[in-house]
Amino acid sequence: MTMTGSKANRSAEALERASRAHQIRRRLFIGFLVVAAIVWIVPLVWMFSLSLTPNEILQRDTTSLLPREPTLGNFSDVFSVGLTPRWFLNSVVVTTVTTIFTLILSAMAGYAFARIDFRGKKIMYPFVLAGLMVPKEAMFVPLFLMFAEFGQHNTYHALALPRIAAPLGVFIMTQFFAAIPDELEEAARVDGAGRWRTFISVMMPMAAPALTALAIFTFVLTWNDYLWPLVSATQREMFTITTGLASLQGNFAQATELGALMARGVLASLPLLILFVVFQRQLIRGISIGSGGK
Amino acid sequence: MRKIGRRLLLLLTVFALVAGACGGDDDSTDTTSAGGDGDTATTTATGDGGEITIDLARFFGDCDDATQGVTDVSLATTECEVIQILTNAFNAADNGITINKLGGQAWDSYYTQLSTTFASGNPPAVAVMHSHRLPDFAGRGLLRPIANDLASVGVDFSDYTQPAQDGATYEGEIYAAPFDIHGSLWHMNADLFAEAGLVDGDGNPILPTSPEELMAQAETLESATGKKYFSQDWFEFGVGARLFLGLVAQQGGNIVDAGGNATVNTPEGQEALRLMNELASKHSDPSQGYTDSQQAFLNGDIAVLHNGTWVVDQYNREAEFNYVVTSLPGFYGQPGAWGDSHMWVLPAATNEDDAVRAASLEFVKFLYDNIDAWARGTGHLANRTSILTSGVLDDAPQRANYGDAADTAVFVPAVPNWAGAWDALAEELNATWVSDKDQSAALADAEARMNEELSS
Amino acid sequence: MTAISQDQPKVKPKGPPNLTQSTGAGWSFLVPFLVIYVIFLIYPVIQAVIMGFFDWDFLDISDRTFIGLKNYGRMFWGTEMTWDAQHLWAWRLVGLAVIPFLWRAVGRRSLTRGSAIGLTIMLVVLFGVTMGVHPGEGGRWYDSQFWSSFGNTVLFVIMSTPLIVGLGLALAVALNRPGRLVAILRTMFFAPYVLSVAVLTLIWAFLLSPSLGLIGSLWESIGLEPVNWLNSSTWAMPAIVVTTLWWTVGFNLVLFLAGLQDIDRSQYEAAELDGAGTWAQFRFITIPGLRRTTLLVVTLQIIASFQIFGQVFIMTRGGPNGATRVSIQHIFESGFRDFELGYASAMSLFLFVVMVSISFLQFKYFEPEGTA
Repeated sequence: MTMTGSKANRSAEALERASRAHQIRRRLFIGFLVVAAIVWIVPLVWMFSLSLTPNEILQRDTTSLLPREPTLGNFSDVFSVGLTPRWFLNSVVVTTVTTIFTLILSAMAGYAFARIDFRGKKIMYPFVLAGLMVPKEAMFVPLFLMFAEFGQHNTYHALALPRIAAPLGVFIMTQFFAAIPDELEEAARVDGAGRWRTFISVMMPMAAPALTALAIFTFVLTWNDYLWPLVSATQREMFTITTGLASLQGNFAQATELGALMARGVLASLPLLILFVVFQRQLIRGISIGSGGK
Repeated sequence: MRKIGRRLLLLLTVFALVAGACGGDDDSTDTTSAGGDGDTATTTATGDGGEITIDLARFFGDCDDATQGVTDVSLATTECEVIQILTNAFNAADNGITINKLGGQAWDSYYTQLSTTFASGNPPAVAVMHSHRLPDFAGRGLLRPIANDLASVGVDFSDYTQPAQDGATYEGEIYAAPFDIHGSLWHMNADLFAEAGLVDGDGNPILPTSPEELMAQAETLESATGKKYFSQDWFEFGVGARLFLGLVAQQGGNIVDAGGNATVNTPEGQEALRLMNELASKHSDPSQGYTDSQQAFLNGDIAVLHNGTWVVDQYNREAEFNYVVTSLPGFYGQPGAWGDSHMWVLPAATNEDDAVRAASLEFVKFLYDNIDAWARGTGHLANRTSILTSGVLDDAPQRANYGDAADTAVFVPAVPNWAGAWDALAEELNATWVSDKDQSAALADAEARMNEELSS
Repeated sequence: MTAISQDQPKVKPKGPPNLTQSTGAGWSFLVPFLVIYVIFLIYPVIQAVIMGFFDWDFLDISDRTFIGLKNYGRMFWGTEMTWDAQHLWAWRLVGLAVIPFLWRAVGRRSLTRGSAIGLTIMLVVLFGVTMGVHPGEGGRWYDSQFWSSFGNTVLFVIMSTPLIVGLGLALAVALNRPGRLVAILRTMFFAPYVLSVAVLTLIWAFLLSPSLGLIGSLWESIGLEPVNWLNSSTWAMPAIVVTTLWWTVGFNLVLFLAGLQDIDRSQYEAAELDGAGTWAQFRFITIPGLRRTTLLVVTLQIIASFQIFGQVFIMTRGGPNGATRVSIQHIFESGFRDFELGYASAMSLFLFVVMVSISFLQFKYFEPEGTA
């Protein structure tokens, strides 16, 4: 397309104005997001501030957003209980093992469902998905009795195995593997790579955002699990951080020791938040994938 | 995932597997609880010299930070501290028995956890239980009848007050050693009463003796001080239902009849509900739950708080006004207030083993001997007549004012499936003052739902 | 579609993936998961299903009697049952209103005529006929709380799903760019998800309390009477929805973010050059590109909403007067408070069947070409 000189000038001006308007809109938008985010985390800020307030003050009044007479006493009280580090360790071990195995097994199953045609797939996929829709509270008792019969409660594997069987991972991985362009897999095939090789070196890296998402979810859900560790890990050394901190509560704890409750909540959640901060980079891919049909 | 990511993954896997293998079978999964296939008691003697470890299940919280190594119970200020220090003292004594405390639950999940231990055939050796839960467990043969056992270790069952005895008995058998009676109390801000001129010569608040007097007092106090007269937890923990029970009992009625049918839609029930709603609408703020009503009381904004025995010491310490607490005033001519009991039970399966049973009983006897320490440290009522009449608790704050409740406490009926019926009752009653539900409809629905629960 | 310059390729609809036949490989990838799944999920579920046909006591597991369908009769039925056309007419109309959509799908060829006929018959029977059944004069449901808790659950699903999915999508699109600030914003919106349900409900119960929390004092400072949210029959359910939204939108945010990564960047550049505005880009590139992810998110959201429990149980205990009691709470109370394991299992099976049916319909109706 050709333009005359004056036309080009006017177009250039128009473009400049458009881009400045665009800039302003973008700034406003980001500003709006920042304000929204600040309002969004007000409850968390309040939680943190309550955790820094002495219990006695909170017995009278809990409506202040900022801590009054701030103290670290609530936090130190948690750590003065001898077993808190052990509870943390239990949670870390169980959650890490569960997450790793879930990632591996779900990715493999997802790859099979998404990219391999095999006999029985049409039955197996719904069979696996149906597991998502089972209310956990329903099958919880047979599961409990199963472990009890073999004397396997109060162990790490009792805490980890039921979670690894969750179909959520398979569902997510199937959907994300299906979205990967065929050309990549064909290219690897042409290069002579076997199924497993393709899976490890081509598919898994491509699915990094999905794997990251699944890892985050599994970690959070396993870490915060309460009902199962409650009945399975009844010996104090086997508590997870969730049940361990719950056991510290006295009667009507929220009326008498709100600060302590909030401090325990902060301590239990902080590792998860740190994990998210570290891994969220994997969620965003800076480069575009594949070249489509270009 | 780049190379580093993969190596990290491998490292983590190895670490996790190793840690898992190590952690899974260390001494925490020891002789006592989850092992075995549930057909015999699993607590075994470890070593000779008669050393034995038994499992104890209890709520009351975990306060190791305050009680580690402490065995002097006079230092205790909370429920948790008293029981933990007592346990420490027992463990430290030269009796060859170690008490292993189970746990992991917040207060309200105790029965979920305890029930699963019964379901798997592997309950602890000793457990604490509320009296209102006894029928469900005793009725299924899960608890050991211990009348003879208690006698053999020197527990005098007749020393317990009548309500305590009744609470530990089901269908003629004794299943528990009661530890206390706890129940409704009338907490008062005597300064506000004084301001309204409602005190007697000693400065103690005058208690109303009829609904009319109650309302008149409330009016007087509110116009004199500008503060609300009354509050309680109106919706959170079923406190309203407890007051209802007390008021019905004060009129000579009951909420369940001898045949196990709900009887709340009766003249007594209707009057009790009417009184409560009048209080709620004219002299209270029914949007208040447990925490806010307590806050309002401690801040001096409420004259009377209906709460329990467990806060007496706390209020005594923290109230900046003249704090007086009594048992519930009798509005209809006789005393009566909701009460319950913490009791120690011996699950049948685990206590068939002689050694375990002997250890459990020794612990129970020890606790029996320390009921006064429990009452002193927690504010709950001692439930033994000998202690109540001996005056040994007279130095504990306020105890003399409500000691009579140990004899007049009204427990919920000892029928199976009570928990669901109680929840239904509480929900229907709440609806009248929280959502303005019609009172007769609420009582009718409550009765229907309670019967639905009780009969299932 | 806006004009696209000839130099750029058209946006190609993603066809079904080219799958290779390999039954051996397929099963070998699937088996590790399957083993754990069958042992720790399927086997307990089968036991639970069997329990549904028994009167099974939780505390004393040797005490069980086979009672066939009596649990189901207790759930579904009552005394003095009658039928009339206007009972719950609003819900029934909504259910019947789905039928035109089915036939639209037939027109669009995403549903076969046979399936449409079958589904139409089912819907007419379900909403036209069976929902008109209810206890008449002097009668009552055997389990007065079963249908009410199911109704509350459905209400919750309807209220919460569009909100939580919509907000998750909006946030993901807004925050899908590199940069330190945006990374911080992402963390802030995600952060509530890391809280356990106990802490979450503690914070929000206090927040929403007229006298204990920030909202109450805010209301007072502007001269309004604080609202007792959790004790109001109108506002308790919305309050639970808001709490759940705040807590779980992070999940959808992360999934949508992951899904956005798979949309070819070059499409946006091309559209930009052609003068397509932000909204047009969103409508014609982002939304179609997210079809698979949206199906994933919506399915998971509906399933999760049907199983809501903790927030309700701890914050309102089903109140006021049962206005927020949900199915799982009723199941939990039947099993763990009333010790009726068989009955709880039967109700769980019902809930399961409902969720499976809805997911099935979703997949049939919304499935993009290709994979399962």
